[in-house]
Amino acid sequence: MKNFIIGIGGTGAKCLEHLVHCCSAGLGPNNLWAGMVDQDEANGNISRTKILLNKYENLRKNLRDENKHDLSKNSNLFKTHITTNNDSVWLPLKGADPTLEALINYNVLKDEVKGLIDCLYDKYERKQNLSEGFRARPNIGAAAMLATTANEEDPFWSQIYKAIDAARGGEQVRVFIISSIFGGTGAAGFPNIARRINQIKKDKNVSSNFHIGGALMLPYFNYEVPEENMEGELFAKPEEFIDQTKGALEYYSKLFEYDKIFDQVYVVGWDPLSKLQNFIMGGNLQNNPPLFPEIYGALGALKFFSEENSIKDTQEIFHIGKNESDDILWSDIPNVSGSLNSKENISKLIRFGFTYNWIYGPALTGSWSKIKKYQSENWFKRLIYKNTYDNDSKSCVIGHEHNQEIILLMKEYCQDVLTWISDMQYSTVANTDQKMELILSDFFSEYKPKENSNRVKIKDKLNAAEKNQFNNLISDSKNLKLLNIMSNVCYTNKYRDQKGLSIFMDILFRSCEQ
Amino acid sequence: MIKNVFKSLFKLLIGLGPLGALSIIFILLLFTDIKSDHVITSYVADYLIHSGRLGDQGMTFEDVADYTFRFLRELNIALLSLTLAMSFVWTVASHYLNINAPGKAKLYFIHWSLYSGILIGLLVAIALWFTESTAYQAQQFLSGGGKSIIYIGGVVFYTLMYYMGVLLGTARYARSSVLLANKLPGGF
Repeated sequence: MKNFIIGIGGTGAKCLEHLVHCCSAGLGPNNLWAGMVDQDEANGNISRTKILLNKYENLRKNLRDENKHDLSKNSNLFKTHITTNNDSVWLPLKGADPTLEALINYNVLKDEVKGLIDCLYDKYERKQNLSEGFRARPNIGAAAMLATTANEEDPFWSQIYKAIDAARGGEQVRVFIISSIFGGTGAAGFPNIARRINQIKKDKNVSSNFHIGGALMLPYFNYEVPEENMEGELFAKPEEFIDQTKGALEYYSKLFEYDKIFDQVYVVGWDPLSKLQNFIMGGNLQNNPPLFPEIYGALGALKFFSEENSIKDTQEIFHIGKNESDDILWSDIPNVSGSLNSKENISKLIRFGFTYNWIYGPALTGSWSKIKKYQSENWFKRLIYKNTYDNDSKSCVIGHEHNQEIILLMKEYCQDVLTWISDMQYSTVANTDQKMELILSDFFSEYKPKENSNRVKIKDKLNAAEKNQFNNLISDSKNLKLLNIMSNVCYTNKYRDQKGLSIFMDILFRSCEQ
Repeated sequence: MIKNVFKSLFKLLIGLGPLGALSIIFILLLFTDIKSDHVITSYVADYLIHSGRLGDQGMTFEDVADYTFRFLRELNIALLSLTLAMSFVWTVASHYLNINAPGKAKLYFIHWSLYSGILIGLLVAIALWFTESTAYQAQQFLSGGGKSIIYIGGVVFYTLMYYMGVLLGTARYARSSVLLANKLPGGF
């Protein structure tokens, strides 16, 4: 089965961030092609997901190499083979400082067509520099997307076109689109990209094996727009989100009534809205925090890709939102399928991130002269020494550059996991009456809501008392102490086809299971 | 965790096995009616009993053999029980030591040393109580050399048994806390 996911706009990119972490935890399908659509390529949200995707691919490639380090097919760690194009982001409008006028060659249009365009777009919209997105103007985005998605030669879209051909050959293909219903890029892209794909599917006479799913994010956050220096600027206005959503929902209601574009649609909403502390119009400084509702979008996609998900002939619409209480708990996170428990896997990844970052990672970092003090310990003998022993040099090569590179990559990724979950927990509920108690993060992180790039700072080192708080890391009824993890690491059996450093990584991951 | 504890207890049994079996056989033998020409009878009569003191009272070893065997039997049961209990407790407790970072197990070497010291102390105390108190009639016929054999032999034998037990039985991640246990192969 081939799976494709397209995150449109900032929200789509942020949902992809959640999805990548879920895939690391083993909740994803076996393979997945991921792409993003945004005119604002430099946008902080897009860049963050782009970097994360690169890290994931790089780390997975290193840990699933049959010749050196192999996690084995049985391992759930980094299970999903995520692929992207060289550039994972597709820009509807290429070139520097694109405008709608330039796209439609407004100046050379006949007067009567110009008149029609003038009815649809005012002067500001036509001349607006779109290099930082469509600024909550889906009417601009729709024109741009419809004009450019048709290009079969485009490396981004050619993947989807090839998949449609593969479906004709009998292979199951599933495409999932995530975006917000409000705003500009997402609102414009969601229906138009889906309709375009559907049209191509019809043109190619593909009537089975090809399914389209989508997650629509209703408003789930807002922010305060500063009054200064905003005159004449086009940007997403939070006070317009609800009206935009209302209009969009009416549109979708009509669209879905007459045309089955999606096989499954997951609609996500949240009330009260999370309050973002910073307003940045776009560009690299717009680095919004991960928010809890986005995980619903990601899990919707994973449910859609799940082999247990039997897709019906009729269009199905699922919706999910906040429960009635203001407490956000693990029980609010739905499972991907009967066999994939979201809470179990995500909490395992968080524990893995913690133990790797502060317990085992530091012990494995550096040269052999620094690491060798652990050589008589059982975990090291069993999982590291034996598996990184070089027969030619007759020595353990854990301190060598290529092994150290993997160790550092994993450390960086674990910090991303801890930052992601902490930031989500802090930012979703900040300045609202909601309480989120998925993890205990105060003892290892510091939250600075006003900061944009380093909102959550993970401590470099933890003292013994802080390490001992590990048993409260995941808020649930059972305690799993660090000593349990250390004990499990020494007793968990490896899989037969595992190799190299991947043995340790997988055993540590499995040891973090409750 | 419980599964790992049971794995350790199985290894503890392997460690205790050889010397434990010897001890149990010895105790069982002392329960039986040992003949006068048996090697144990000869050894006890020759090395543990003060024959002069027996002679002064106009007695032979046959007269006190029953008392002596009962004394040795109960002494060994006490020493064996203590050794089994102490090694069992260490094996289980080693799974609950607060080792929360690589390299930290070494710190528990102090705990293990103290614990082992307590065991040795208790073994000596039990041997002393058996040989010096008036609870057992046989103690009045023990020679000085015999008492030394009982102290040293008992303490060394049961300490060694305990050590063999905890060497194999200690939780894998806590092996650095037991002398030479980290030399065991990683997969054991």
